[in-house]
Amino acid sequence: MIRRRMARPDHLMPTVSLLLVLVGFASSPLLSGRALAPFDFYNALQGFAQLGLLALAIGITMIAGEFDLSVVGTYALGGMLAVQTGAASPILGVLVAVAAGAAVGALQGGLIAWLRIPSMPVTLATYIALLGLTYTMSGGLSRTYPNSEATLWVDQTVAGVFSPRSLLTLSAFLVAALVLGGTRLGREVRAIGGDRRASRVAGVNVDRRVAGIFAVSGALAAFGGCLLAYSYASANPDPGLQPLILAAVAALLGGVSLAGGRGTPLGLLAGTLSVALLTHIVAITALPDFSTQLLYAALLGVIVAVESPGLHEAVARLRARHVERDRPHRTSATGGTRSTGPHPRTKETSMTTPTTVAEGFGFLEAPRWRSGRLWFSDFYTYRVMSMAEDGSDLRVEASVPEQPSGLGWLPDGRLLIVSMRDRKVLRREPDGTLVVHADLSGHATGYANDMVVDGRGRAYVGNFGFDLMGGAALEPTALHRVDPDGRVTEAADGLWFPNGSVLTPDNELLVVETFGNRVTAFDVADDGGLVNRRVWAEFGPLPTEREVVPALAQVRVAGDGACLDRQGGLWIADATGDRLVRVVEGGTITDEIRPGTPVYACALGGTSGTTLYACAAPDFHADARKAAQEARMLAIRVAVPGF
Amino acid sequence: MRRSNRWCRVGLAILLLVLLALAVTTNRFLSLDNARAILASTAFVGITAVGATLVMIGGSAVSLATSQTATIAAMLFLATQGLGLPTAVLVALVAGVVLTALQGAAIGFWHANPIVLTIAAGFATTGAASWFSGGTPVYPTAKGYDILNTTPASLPLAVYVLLATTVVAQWILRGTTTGRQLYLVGENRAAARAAGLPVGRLTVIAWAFFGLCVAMTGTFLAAFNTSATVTLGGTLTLDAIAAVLVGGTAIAGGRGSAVRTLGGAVLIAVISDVLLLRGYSTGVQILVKGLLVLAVVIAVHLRSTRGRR
Repeated sequence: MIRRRMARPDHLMPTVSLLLVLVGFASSPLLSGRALAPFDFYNALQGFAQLGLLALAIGITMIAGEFDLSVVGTYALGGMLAVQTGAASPILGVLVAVAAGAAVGALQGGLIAWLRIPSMPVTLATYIALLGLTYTMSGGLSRTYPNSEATLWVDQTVAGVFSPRSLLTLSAFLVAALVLGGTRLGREVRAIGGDRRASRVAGVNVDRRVAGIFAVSGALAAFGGCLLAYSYASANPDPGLQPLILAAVAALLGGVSLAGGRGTPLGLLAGTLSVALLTHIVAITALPDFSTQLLYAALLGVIVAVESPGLHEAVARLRARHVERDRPHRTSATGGTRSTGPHPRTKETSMTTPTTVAEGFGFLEAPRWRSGRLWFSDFYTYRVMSMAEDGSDLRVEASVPEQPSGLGWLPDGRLLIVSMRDRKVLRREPDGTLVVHADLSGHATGYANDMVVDGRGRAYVGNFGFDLMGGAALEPTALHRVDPDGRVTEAADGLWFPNGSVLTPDNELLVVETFGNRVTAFDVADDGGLVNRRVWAEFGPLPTEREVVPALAQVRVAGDGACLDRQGGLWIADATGDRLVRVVEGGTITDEIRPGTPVYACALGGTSGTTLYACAAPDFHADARKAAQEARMLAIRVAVPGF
Repeated sequence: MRRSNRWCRVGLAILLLVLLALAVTTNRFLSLDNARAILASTAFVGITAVGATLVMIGGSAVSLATSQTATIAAMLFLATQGLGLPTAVLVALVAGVVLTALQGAAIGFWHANPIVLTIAAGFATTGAASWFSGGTPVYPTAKGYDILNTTPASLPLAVYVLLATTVVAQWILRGTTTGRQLYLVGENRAAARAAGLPVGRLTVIAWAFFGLCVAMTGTFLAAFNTSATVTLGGTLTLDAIAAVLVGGTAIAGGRGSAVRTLGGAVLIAVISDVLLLRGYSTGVQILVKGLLVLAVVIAVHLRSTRGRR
């Protein structure tokens, strides 16, 4: 329930903050001992007018995924220009200021869009430059505005509580709400903030929109500066950072996120009104000034808490631990049958969100669904295990002291296990003993890793290619074929960390290359040779870095373990993206599951074949994983079954 | 990569040559007194900027609570003068480290947004500062702080502290595992975490060091002004960010160095000094500083992106 409401913070945040502040405002007579008069509303709205256009200006850039620090510079420049050019005609002053604001905004927006440069440092520089410009224009002094008619006009009361200034500010919000809420332009702006790459692909002219948003932001900020200067009958060359910070607070309370793509002008309106009312409450109740600051800190603290993914995880972990304590077993239901103690019962659970079916392992890899059970390797407890689909009936199938990884079965049902560090493939005989099936130590240039075995008992075995855990530089490597008699042949080379592999019904071998940003496909010839090599899916260019972490930084999908579904979709665990992606030939990602933890391998299984099992662990660092038993097996319900 | 690198080098060389030409033809620029003045004006902002470099390299962007933290350190420093200078310095530094490291913890462990978090922390710090000070300036109870205003070998003590801080920061960044890992965290946080780097701890270390630097600036500001009000920190927040950016550290993290930040701070001071000596107003000095930041930000961005494609 709470989670569902949290899911829309762009509605929740402004509604709650405005309601809270309104309650505070309504009950302020309790503290001040004086009933609220229309004058209080007028004053609060004046406060709103002072901040409003600035908050709207920064807010719309935030919706589009940018952050325009320069608005406070444009605000100062707008006020100064209006005062210096609008003495005779206030309208002319406004026009000059707004035109200048729009021009500055369009220039820096164009630069940001064209160079694809982060907006914060650019707008910070613009802010400093604009401040300097405003200083230069005024000689560093406040400039008075001699047109007292205009000063009186902007602040005259309208209908008791409004002024032309607050009405103009309100109408700016309404226009923004109409444009952003009801037009294609508005949808595009939100889409740009949400996923810029996708917007570009979808044909949105992102560059022009971004430049436009900055132009509008500049114009709004400059207009706000004009209104303030006319109202105060003077322009201040340096308003300091405070207006900017307050505008950002208003936008954040308004449900806008710095991540972009979220928020509405009406939310911004509610956020700005909250800030203005709060300031006014503190003023009329004569609370000390610092209470305003502590209130802002508290409100922002709530925002930080709501929006920190790591905090959510920590809370979820705590809660999970709490639940575990009350449970007899380490397992939980995932659908299908589960027996808890002496009273078996059947429970169907929806698995749109991941469930933990088993936990307390070192580092899980190579999950396989076979004969109604899920098989997998645990790197750092050196065991191959199997369990029922709900995580019950856990069995140790084999102990592999040199670290087990890829699993597969010969046509006669004997289990093959990759032994990583000694680079061997082991075979489990019917009596349970392990024998060496093949020795790759003269072939593989790194730890042997994942493996897929075809219907004729031919195993395709990948290896690291370099010393991953020792921090060596990246090297491409070969994929080896182990024939049923144990003979080892190089099947393909030039692979960047060949990892999860699957065989399709059309006798194609798909190999996920963790550091290659791609999936490579081969046709398996009759003699087991790999022919017709091609890129099956490409997520990005080959990394240019040769150190592990920088190279991982260049990889869009660090594909680890993978499994195939019946409609040709390849589920890949993205080792650095904390996600599982379903990829189809050509590289399109059709589905993405974010289980909230890093995942390293996956398998489709369960009675219906629609349970996607995923091996989760906090990281893949050997020392850390040996030290703590934190790996888990997750289960997620998906639409298309596996084989 | 090589071509755009060369471009940037050429641009930088031309800029420095123009500056040099302007400088040597400026009356009174080439004097020991002026060099001292430049260094002295660099010191306060420079110390904070060197600390901010670690935060930016580590990928947690910037702090918008810098002035406020410096202010509260300054207030504590002056208020505890009665306990003796070493105690007062210790109180101020510990306060700066703890306050800032806590923010680093929320960012490193909870992945809190640094901008939102530091705005909140800024409000909380200023609110608490005005609460405790009652909104009135804090005056020292003893004169021990005067030692911080001394000028050994005609240079303010703060300049020596700036140089020492830069050396230490550079050593952390280049000479220790922590520093090298910090670059990787800034480069790609998800990949660093996946590779098992202690992302949370590294972030806290970077912020704690930053807090130490901010508190040192705060103590020097307090000693210099001999009293502290809630506005003492002034424009420190943005001045420090500007120096880090002009030093060529990328806002997105993963690139930069403490020595370059020192260079950035000195460059800003030199340009302001040349403009001042040539009779330009404060406005022009600020304007040129803004354009300089803009030019460097664009150059750094071009170099990093063109280099990768």
